[in-house]
Amino acid sequence: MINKINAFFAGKAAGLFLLLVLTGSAAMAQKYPGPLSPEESLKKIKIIEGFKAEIFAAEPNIMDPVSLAFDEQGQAYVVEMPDYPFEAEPGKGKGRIKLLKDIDNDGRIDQAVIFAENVTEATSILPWQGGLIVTAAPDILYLKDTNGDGKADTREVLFTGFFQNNSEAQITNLRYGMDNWIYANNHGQDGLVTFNRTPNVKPVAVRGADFRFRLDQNKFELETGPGQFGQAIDEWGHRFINENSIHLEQVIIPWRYTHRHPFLPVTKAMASITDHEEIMLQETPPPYWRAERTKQRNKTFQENNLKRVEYAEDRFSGAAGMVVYAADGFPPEFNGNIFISDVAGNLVHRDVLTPSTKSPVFVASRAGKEKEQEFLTSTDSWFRPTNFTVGPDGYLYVLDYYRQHIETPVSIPDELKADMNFMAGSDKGRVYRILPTNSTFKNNTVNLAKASNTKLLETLSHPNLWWRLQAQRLLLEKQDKSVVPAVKKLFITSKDARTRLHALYVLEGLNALDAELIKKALQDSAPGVRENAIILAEQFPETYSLVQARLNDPVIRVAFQTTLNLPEFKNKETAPSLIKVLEKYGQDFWFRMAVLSSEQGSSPEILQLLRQPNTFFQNPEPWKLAFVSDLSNIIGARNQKDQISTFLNFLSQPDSQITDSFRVEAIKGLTKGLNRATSTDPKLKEIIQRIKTNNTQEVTAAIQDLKKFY
Amino acid sequence: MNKKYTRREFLFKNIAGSAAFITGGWLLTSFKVSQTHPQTTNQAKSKDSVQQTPKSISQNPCEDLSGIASGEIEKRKKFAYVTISPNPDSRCGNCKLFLPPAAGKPCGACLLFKGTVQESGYCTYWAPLE
Repeated sequence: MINKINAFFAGKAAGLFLLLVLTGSAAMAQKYPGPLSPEESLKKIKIIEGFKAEIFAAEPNIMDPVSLAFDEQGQAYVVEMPDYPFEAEPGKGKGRIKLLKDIDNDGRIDQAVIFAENVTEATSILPWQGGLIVTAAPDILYLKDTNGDGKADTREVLFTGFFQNNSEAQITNLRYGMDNWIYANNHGQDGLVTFNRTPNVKPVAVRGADFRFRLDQNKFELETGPGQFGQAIDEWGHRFINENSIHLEQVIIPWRYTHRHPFLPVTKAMASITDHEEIMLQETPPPYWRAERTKQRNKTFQENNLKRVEYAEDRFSGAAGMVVYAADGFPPEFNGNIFISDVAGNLVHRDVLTPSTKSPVFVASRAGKEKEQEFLTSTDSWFRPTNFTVGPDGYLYVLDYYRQHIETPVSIPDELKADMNFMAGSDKGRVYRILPTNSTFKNNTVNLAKASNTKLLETLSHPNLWWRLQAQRLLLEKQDKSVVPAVKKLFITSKDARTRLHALYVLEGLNALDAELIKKALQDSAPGVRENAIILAEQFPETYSLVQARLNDPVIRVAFQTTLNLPEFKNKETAPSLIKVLEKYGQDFWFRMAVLSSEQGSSPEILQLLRQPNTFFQNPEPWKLAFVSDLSNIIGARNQKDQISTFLNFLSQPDSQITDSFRVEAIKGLTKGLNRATSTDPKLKEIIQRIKTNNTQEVTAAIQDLKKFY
Repeated sequence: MNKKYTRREFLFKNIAGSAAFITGGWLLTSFKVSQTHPQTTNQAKSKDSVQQTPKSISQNPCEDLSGIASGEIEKRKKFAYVTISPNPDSRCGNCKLFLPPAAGKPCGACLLFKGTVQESGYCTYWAPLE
């Protein structure tokens, strides 16, 4: 009997245990749902009306895709990043680059050839001279198949020295710009970068910046940033970037302007341009770990009396890839729109970019249809859209990393991590083709590798940016100068402004621009052509007056580019021109920064010139005070005796025009600048410490004290 | 917004799931059944097993990590924490995960790892204040 009772209870206990284990498993399944097949997951995708999604590629042909590029033959190459989120030991990374093949021409990949494997930290690719440029921190590589077997057999380290310690913040996302430069995001991470093709050139410290380079001219330099993962360049060369929680930023001023002198008080030259904050409309609940972690963080904020709230959902936190749509596969209203993915929200967001009429920036807005839903969402929480490309067919390709979890493991409290498998899904991955509902996939008909010059020139007029850029790049690579007359003719005769712009940059790449052509471009009917012509005009001093005239351009971005470029001509007329810019656009921060970024625009001469219109110093408006403060700050930081002497003399003149509020800002700014100056004398430091600016007497005394020193 | 789920459903699922999971976990422990996660080997060791960093006297109190567990210091490295931000506009001082110095204290802290943090610092996890 006892045995029976024991057996009964043992059986009951075992049953109870089994029940609880099963319950636990069911709860786990609810907590973190399992994966779906590509076909099942496709059904979970919801796109705005008028579009559909198709599977272009899926496991086992691809896994963990983060970058997709079509080469000049229309062949699709994909980068797989299976090691994420863990660091691979040096030389043991499992990163792969594959060539994807659609053997039966049904629009879906059915074979993958490994082009390169064990490429540690590979994150992006760009076709170049028959091979691929690859970002693979700490390097940028060049891989090429020279014997036609589909596998890379040469490996060149182009650049090395980039940061390598966090796969979410490394050199990535190569983009071929309209201007023949290749751009990459560096997230501002520290690094001393060398270019192995120019071993005698001094290494460049890339801290705080992104990166750009040209292999046709062996140049490399810093670029405004920092962008984390997403990067997109539009048809006119405007660059956009993002970081996890800031889904869309525009690069307003390139680095080469903001660093003409090292004294600007602020060098941040990009800005978030969204008009709808960082809100996204996700269809998936936040995962358990995230909801719990957010709860814990908010509790900590409250305990520390901080007025902060973290949101576990519906706010961008995993903004990733970006692309500007510039093709003919979608309806015309989508042209120029930017698509941005968020891996945490399992969605693709679309912004309509509209040039501001008050500032040289775009404003990013939701399209009318997308006030209530995103362009594309999935209810499959494994859907992780990492990146995009627009293919030669004009359709949008969305890369789906397909993972159960995407997050830096070390950022999750240990107790929440215990039941998380960060590698779940590392054997999966998909790429979707997004196209209008009434469209069908198109067989690959691309054949540009051996195309004649005539064919490449024709391609510069293709409605799809992908084709035009391929043609531009191939003409640059070939360096066949015999095409120059035909390209010039194309620039003069083409009715498509985009073609005229490509023609300009083909000529630039062939070193075949001339002043007459630039003069014509400066008066082009399209603002985008004029804007780029201003940049290219720097090489031709004889175009100065025409460039100067563009300060009055009706399009604000063109006037802005002129403000940036005019000082490059080193012309005496520039400083008075910059005064006119301030009169017209001084209320805009970016114009003030553009003026101050040049030597001429940041000298005491500017103050003298500002007196002449007799209006600037009459009314101490906030923007005027801000300009005087920043200008004084720069003059102080530059700390050149003659400049400061001129500056102090200007301030000490008995002048009814210059009100005390201007003098106060000037001395405050100068003091800040002097504190930044590296060569500040100890005696001067003593004077600076004594300076007070609370009233007229104190400011007058400060000026006198400083005059004794200078 | 037309959600595909409700918060109530979400909370219910998670509370029920957590309860079942904890109970199941307790039973699994009781029955000496263990589960391994070879892919998550980078997780911090338990407090009992961490080595303490040796006491040191730092010139800057905000750089003094004496007494901080080595696992926590390792976390800093994973996030590539630096005391001076490479991007002046993105620094600990304007990161939502930064805890400003308490009254009378010179250094701040971070929600991501233990130990002192400087307002001028930065790590790759920087997130803007909302």
